[in-house]
Amino acid sequence: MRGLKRSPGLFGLGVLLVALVAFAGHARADIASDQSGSLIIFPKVIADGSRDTWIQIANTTNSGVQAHCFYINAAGACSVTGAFCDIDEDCPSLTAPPVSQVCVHVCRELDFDILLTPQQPTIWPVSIGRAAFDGMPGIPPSVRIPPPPQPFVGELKCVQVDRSGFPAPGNALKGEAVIVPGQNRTAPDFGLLSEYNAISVIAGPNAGGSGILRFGPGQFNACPEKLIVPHYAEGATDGFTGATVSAELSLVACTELLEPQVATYSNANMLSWDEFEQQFSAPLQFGCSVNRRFNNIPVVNSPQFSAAVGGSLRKTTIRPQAGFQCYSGSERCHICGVYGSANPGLAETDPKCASAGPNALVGNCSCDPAIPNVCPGADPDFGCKQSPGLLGVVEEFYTSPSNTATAAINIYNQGSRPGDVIVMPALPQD
Amino acid sequence: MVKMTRAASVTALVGLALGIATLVASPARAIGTSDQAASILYWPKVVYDGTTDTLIRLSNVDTSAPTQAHCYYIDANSHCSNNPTQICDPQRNECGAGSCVPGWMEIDFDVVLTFEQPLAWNASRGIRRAELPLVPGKPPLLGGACNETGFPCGFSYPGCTCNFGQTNVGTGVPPVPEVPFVGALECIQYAPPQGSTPARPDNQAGAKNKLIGQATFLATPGGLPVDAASYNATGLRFRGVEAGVPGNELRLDDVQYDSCPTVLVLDHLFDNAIIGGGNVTDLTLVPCGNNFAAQIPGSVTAQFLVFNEFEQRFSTTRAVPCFLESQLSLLDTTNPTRSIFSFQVAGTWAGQTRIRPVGTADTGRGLTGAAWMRTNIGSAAYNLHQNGNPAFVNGLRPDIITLP
Repeated sequence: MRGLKRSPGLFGLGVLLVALVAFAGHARADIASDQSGSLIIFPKVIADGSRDTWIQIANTTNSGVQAHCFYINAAGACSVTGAFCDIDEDCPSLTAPPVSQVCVHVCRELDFDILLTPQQPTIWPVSIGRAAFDGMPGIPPSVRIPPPPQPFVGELKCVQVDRSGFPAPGNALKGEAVIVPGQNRTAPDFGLLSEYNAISVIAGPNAGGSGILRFGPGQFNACPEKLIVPHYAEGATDGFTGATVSAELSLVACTELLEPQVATYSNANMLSWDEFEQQFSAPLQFGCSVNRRFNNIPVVNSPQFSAAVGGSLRKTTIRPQAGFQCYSGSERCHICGVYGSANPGLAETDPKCASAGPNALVGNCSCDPAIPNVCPGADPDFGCKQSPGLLGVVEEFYTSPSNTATAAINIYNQGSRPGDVIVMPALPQD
Repeated sequence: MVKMTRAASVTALVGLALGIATLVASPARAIGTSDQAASILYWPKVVYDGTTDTLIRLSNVDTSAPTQAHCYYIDANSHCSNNPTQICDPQRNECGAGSCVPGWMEIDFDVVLTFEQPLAWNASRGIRRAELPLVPGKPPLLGGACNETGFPCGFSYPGCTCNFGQTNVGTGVPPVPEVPFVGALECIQYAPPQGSTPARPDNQAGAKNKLIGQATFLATPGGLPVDAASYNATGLRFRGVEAGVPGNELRLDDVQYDSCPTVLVLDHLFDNAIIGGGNVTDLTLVPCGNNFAAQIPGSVTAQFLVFNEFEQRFSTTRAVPCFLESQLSLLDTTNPTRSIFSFQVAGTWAGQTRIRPVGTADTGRGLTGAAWMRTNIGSAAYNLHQNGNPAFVNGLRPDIITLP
């Protein structure tokens, strides 16, 4: 009896110690590209015919784990023809009737489950996916991994979940992405191989329990205050190979509203230094994610990151926009698609976009949370909130007369900036 | 009374647990990083062989102050016992009647970086003084109208702005000492000399952890197809001054600097699995601790635990006397088709390898490393994952870097 009476306290102590052991390995309250986490993010995933991406995910624990994954496609489409594009210059003006086009990036999501046995690694090409008993060696995950609609240019996020489908703080997942030549390439393939580590968000003891992932103390670690990207200046010549170098930046927003399937608005403030202490700056605005050469930031062929106006080396710091924006309601801050378009890749339903036009920024993008009802009709949880944090990866392209070689690298991060959320699609039992 | 005593004891136990929690959770569990600025950087693999060169990038993230790095190239070339000038590969019989003796030789140099400055050099060339971007009196952009011999910039030459601020003076990066070269690079953040105080490892509050670095392998100059592969340097952050530690000792013990992890995790394709029809992955490992004063390299044993997609497990062990570079499928055998890292044996494409360093050397037991996947369509490098940090109990020594 005495033993029984003592047991609750001892049990509590045991629980506390177990929790300590479980989370002690992850006290670094940052995101990381070299540790496992409960949320892993691949900021650059391409399957557009000319390039493909192999996704490698592994369970680093001795227990089986389940993850729910989201492909989020931000591939551009020309505003009238719907043709695949990257920047506005890829969309020629039409002559009959005369109309100019822009390249519109609308975010579309596709999700699936993956199950991994203890310490199990697995891999699949994004363009094909992976089906059970598909003839590939190895045990495929017991749930089919679908190929997303293509062309695909966007990101992949995988969240560790429990049996009920809610996010779980197990920190078991790690991943890598290998970008390879695609099936439809016509140019030489040699050198077109890049690899980077997935970004891991480590979960704290209070993470999970609902379909909303919150980034902050005790929950999922916060996204960084600042990203630091070392890269060659655009057009610089590599001293050893003689190749001309260009760098491509891929950024994703930390806040994602996957349940309502609406893109957030991000504004990256970029400050770049060359080796001569010269400083350059540029903004980069986008929806859920962006994949852009530095020489097209903020506009096509801009000089800010060019070797022609400075040194050949750059170190660029990227800060997410300070301030708040309306995430829902009639004043939702976002970049317009094409209002009324039947093309699902362009569709836009916000009436403000009818007059504003594609790629216009509409809504309240600098709201004051102290003002009552500043975001009319907004969801109480997602009204006037902090603008999204940012994560990313950079890839350099070395072009010689005979080929182009690539190398990807994980971006450095500094500080933490709590407040981001990811809203997962509702579960059947919700 | 009994209940009160029991309640008190439970409260005490919980308090004790919270105390342990504080002790365990705060200063400990701080392993290295490959995506944050740090005070010690490791580039585990640097190569130059005439057709492949390594571009080393080193940047200062301080927004206002210069910083200095003291760097060590570690030449890990092996040489023939019967001809010490002949460089050899220990995995091949290249020395005739002699044997191929592993080598370890360090050369050190300084790099001074101005605020927010990125700097880079090729391992084959280093940086000569004339190539320093910022020197006193010289225009920031090379080719300007004034020079460092004394033209009064801004008077005789309007529009020309000479540098009178922070400079790179003090920087001298030599080329790697041998061709071919394979080895590592290690840089430690130093505080610049002040008066009679020489430069020393930087432990000033606010000035620490200002270095970031990358390496890019660049292959085949001269109009032939180029190849490129990059990885981030692995960093250890300065954490605080530790009493009783000699000034020339850097302790990687979570108190003075971050520790090296208990396990490195390498996800890879099994050799000769898929990409490009001939993929192999090269793994490079270097010990975290080195005694540069006595010229004694770190020595660690690496235990490999390999999992395939069938949840099958294999293991092997290799010594890392100062530097280990090997194709995965040559780690455990000289016949790569019979290796546990080969597709033929593992039977699946993807593999996960956990690398656990062990050892009792005075320099410690930690390892850091990088991976380089080579295929018929090019190559890609990437960083290893890090997992767990060691508890320095029961005689387990922290890694120690001893400076001259």
